[in-house]
Amino acid sequence: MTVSDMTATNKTNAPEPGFDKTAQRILNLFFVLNSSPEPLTTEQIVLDSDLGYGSGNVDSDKRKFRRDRDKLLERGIVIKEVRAAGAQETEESAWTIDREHTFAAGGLITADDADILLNAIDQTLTTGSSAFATPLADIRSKIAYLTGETNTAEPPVVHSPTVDAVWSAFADRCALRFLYQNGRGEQRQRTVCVYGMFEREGTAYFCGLDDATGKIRTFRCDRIVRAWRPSRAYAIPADFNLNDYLFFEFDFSDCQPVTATFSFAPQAQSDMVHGLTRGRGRLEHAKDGWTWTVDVRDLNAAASFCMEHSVDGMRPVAPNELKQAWNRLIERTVSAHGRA
Amino acid sequence: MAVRKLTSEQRLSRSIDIMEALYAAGEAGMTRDEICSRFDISGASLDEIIGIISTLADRESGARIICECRDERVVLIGDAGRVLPLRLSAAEGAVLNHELESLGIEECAAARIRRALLPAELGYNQRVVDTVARGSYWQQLCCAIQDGVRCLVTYRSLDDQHPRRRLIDPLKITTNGDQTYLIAWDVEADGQRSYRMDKIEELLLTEDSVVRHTTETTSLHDSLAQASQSVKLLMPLDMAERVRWAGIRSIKADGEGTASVTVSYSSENWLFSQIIAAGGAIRIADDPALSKRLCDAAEAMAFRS
Repeated sequence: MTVSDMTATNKTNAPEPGFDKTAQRILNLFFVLNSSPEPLTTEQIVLDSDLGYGSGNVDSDKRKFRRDRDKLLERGIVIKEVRAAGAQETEESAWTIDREHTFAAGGLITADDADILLNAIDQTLTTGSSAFATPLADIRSKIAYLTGETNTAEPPVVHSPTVDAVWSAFADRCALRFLYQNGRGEQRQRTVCVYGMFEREGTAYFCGLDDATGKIRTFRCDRIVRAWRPSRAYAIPADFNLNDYLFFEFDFSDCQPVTATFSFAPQAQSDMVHGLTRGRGRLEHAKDGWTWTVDVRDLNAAASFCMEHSVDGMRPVAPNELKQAWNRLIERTVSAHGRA
Repeated sequence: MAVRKLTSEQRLSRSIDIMEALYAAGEAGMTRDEICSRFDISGASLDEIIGIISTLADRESGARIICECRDERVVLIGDAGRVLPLRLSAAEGAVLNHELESLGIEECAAARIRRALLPAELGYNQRVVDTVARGSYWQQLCCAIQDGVRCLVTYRSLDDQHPRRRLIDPLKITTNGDQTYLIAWDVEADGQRSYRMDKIEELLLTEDSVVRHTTETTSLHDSLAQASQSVKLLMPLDMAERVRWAGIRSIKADGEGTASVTVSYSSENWLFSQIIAAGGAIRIADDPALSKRLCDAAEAMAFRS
């Protein structure tokens, strides 16, 4: 959005139809293509001043039209180019809404599928999803509407204002400015391009590019004191992998990371091992069991994590310092219980 | 936290969402409050959006959208503003995709749902996740609970050397922290038990229906309390406030930074692993025999040089 796209708000805050020309133009493009029985040619579109183009500079209007198509695509509205069979490359394009890819195909979901999905969403909402309650409630409404199952009781949705603010910025791909209180109680204003959201042990987190440090950082949604309206648009790097940010207690230290290896017994359940290791590091399965190799900053915390899951067959393998930390846990426990 | 002043991006998204919702609502329309609450916008922003929608027109066909405000209701008149349900947005699509994957929805059903609802391309890799361990049988167990089907599960409890089969009447699925549990009636033991979903190795649905049991299941906490032993542990108060064990029955602070925590547990090995992981910060109170078993178990786990 450029400054010129916005006209000033009137002082009485009364609605002003011409307030946001960009939103109005893109909506009008969607409306016209949606209601037109025939595809519209590029010329019909970019020369139409009522539609919000027709500036007199055709190339500029074509670029604007392309940007507008991209904006609609981000919202799931696909505008496709159509050419008559046998048309020359040089012939003018025509445009229409790709209905198959834009509108949900309710008929393709069976009543059983809808039932399974609504049940799944209800379970997640009932157990109190901290991060995704709002989008799940919206998805639920859409499925219920599509399949006519609007009479089923909706589970109560627990909305969190701070999680909703993060979700809104993430969904719109607009940087979020907020006042954040860290674990030591210090408050600081930050602006973050939200790259991903996750839920860990019932708490909602998000990570993204932090303006202050220029690094990807992780934040707890419930530590946001205040959020402002999201501003500039951003794109998420293609190589960003949220799994790398699903932290463990052993990540919190200023020490340099060391590579640690853990093992699981051969009979350890695949579901359990995958759930525990959260896609971090490298997990290998051989005849003699599972091996997990992962970077660790705090070896004592890693030994403690491993001990907590020892009942699942997890054991430290390397380095030696990790095994020593494991032994120290045992020595201290035995000593605390009065055995020398 | 209703977004007070919308950005152009948000105004566009909300306008499309509102047109879609108003068309779906039909002649009844929606109340202003409903719209504001569902789309997280203020009344002023709604006025602004209605203003924009009302300007939409097609010069060629003469079609225009009529968005009528009747008292507190907003109604879309005529067919010109027809917005059929859109596929999910990229971000919503990612959430649904995650839901389909993490709950282990059956592949064919998941594929149909994806085809019908997800945007043509998600546009980015998976960027929403959670760390809840749900195992592989969530969907089948949900159906079994709904339909009242007795099940045969192969399960290895924390104290079992080998997995063994259990005939169960599934009652409820519940979550504690990052673990999902099935609460079920163990037919042979004739009692209620809880099973970690990620430790169920196999599930078979039997031809039999569940039998109604007199005891009502309400929570994992109750389930643990019914079938378990309990122990009193001493630990620093801040640690007591952080632990998320499902079996905690009470926490009593002694006023000197220490707390006495009473915990129900079904596996002694689990209890020992939690105590040892705290490296001496947790002590067993008033049970010398249990303390001795803890020390023996701990020493057996040490690496010998």
